[in-house]
Amino acid sequence: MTEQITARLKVPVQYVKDPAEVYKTVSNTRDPGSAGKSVLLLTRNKGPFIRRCPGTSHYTCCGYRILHIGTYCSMDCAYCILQAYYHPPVLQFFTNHEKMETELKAFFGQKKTGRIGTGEFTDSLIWEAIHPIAGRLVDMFSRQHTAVLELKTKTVLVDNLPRSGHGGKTILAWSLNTERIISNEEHGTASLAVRIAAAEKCQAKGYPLAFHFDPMLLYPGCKQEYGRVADMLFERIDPENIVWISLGSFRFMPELKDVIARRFPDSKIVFSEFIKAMDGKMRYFKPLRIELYRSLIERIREKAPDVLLYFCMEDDEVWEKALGFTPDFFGGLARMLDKSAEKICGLYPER
Amino acid sequence: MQAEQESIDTALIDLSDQKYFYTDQQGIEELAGSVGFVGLISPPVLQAKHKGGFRVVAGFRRVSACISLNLEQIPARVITAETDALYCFQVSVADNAATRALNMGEQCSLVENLHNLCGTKEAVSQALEPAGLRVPPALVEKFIRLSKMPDEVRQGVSGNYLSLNTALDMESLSRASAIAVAGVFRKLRPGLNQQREILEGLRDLAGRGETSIDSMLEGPEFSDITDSYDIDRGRRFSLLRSLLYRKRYPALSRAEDAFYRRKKNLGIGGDMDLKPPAYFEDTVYTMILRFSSARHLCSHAEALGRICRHPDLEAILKREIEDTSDLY
Ligand code: SF4
Repeated sequence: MTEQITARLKVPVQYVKDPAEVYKTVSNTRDPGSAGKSVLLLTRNKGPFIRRCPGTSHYTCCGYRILHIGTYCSMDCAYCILQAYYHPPVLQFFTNHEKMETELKAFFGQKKTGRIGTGEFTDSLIWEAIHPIAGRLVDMFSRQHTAVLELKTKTVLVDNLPRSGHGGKTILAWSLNTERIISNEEHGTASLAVRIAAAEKCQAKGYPLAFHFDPMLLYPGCKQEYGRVADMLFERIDPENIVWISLGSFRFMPELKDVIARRFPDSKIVFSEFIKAMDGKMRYFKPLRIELYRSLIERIREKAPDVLLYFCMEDDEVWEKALGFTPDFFGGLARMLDKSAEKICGLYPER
Repeated sequence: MQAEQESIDTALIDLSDQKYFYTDQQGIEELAGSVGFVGLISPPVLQAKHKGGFRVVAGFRRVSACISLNLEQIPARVITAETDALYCFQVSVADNAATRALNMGEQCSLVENLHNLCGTKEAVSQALEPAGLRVPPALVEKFIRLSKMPDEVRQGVSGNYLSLNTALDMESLSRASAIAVAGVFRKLRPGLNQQREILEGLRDLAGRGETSIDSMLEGPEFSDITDSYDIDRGRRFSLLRSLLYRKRYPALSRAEDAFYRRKKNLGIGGDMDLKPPAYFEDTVYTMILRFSSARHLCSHAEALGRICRHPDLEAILKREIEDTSDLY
């Protein structure tokens, strides 16, 4: 696989004995956040491919699993948490897919609904340009009925995905943001209209869809602009095909502030009204988050009253005040998401 | 040092030649008083110039004091015109080290001069060591950075009202903003943590892109506080801190105001306290009761009963959102 990828990329190749050599080189640069995007480390994943989503204390987490195919990203969002999550952040793609497939087979054997995605430590679809992996995963998931795969992206690299035979077991998901945030903060990503058009293409191929309004950012006029994003979405996408929509506001480890200020001097996103929340991360003052969520939820509900909305990492007060209920009412957040996946993706785990 | 002690005409000393000048020139009058009383105890070091006359290597204040006393001749140790500049600086540093410690601003000017001569921070550090001044290479680097900053910032460091690290943290500010911040520190003389707090607050506010730090500080909202010399410095600092807080956290400030307004209505006595969760993020409030007897505790119980039925407590716990529609 390494030879195939290097042949395809036509860039200078260097073999290293130990990935630590690459980490060291990147760490020693003035801007590791950028340097880590200019090398691609092809290596074996020595740890597990399937991991629990790290979640965070004090806030409701959804029991998601991560399929760890690689790290970091070739796009460059100012707010990207990965810049501070890895020390240093390095674009790396794991090549020992036999191990990944063995772990996946065990995962499929579980007698409960599984939700897993590749888009937490990297973007799910950037790798299509160097080694198409999504098609193989879609195929593997199509042959079982207990778990659903979520491919989360800000790209539109969906042309390689199988037209049929996916069995609805792969959800194509896009992170959405306002046009202003996309053009000012999400460098190198696809525009909003193009993302929605790609989602529409996948809808036409019968894929279930999901959308993530995350991170939502506060700025004057943001409520109207997020509302406009919802309008654009439902002009093209049928809510019946949406498995879930998540909402989350910008939150970050305090160390990220300096990284953003240094790497993106024109960005204003770290200068809003942030407080240190219960998990030690910086978050918008809670009433501001609730207000922002409420306004978008209201707009989404006008077009898609039944679509499953959930919060990524918020507490019961936010749920209650913005959505009118807490996850406990429906058996917990994990159960809510499982049920939606079961219904729309046709899962039938043995219980 | 190879230097002959001689008696030199003060008219031949060129004080405008500042090749080796890096020290502050304060206290010349007091020094003149002491020279007039006991004479010049420690002669300055001069270097002969190729075209005639002398430049000062060490002892600018002493020479100035003697000239102010109209002394026509003074004793001095004279080194030759051929002596290299680095050695002259070392002599000067050694001469100073024997009498007093150089302040940060002086060290900064000295390092800047030496860096031009030696080229690297390590060489500067090595050159200073034998002269009795220990400046590690990392500190040399900081001084070189400081030397590129506006005079007002350097003066703040020399004057001890601006820490070296805070000054370096101001490197990313525009020149006008750095000067304005140094001006605030000169007026308020805040401690190190307070300097950091002010700088971070100003930077966060300016980061929103609505206005620059210098225009903010020149505006009446800030200058009315910093320039109110009839108010003592500590109070002015508190007012500035509070203004920065309200501007940085407008919605949180409103929520705090509402909380304290309602808390006041609850009639909580001095030996009880109600505390909100940090930043109102959690939903758990804390009630503190201080008591010294069972009777005292019983009186708290009665007060608690009254507080529990109070509509303002309900409003506090409901955590109704203050209107923030004007903000976003
Ligand atoms: S697309 Fe996602 S992973 Fe890539 S830079 Fe943006 S936030 Fe980070």
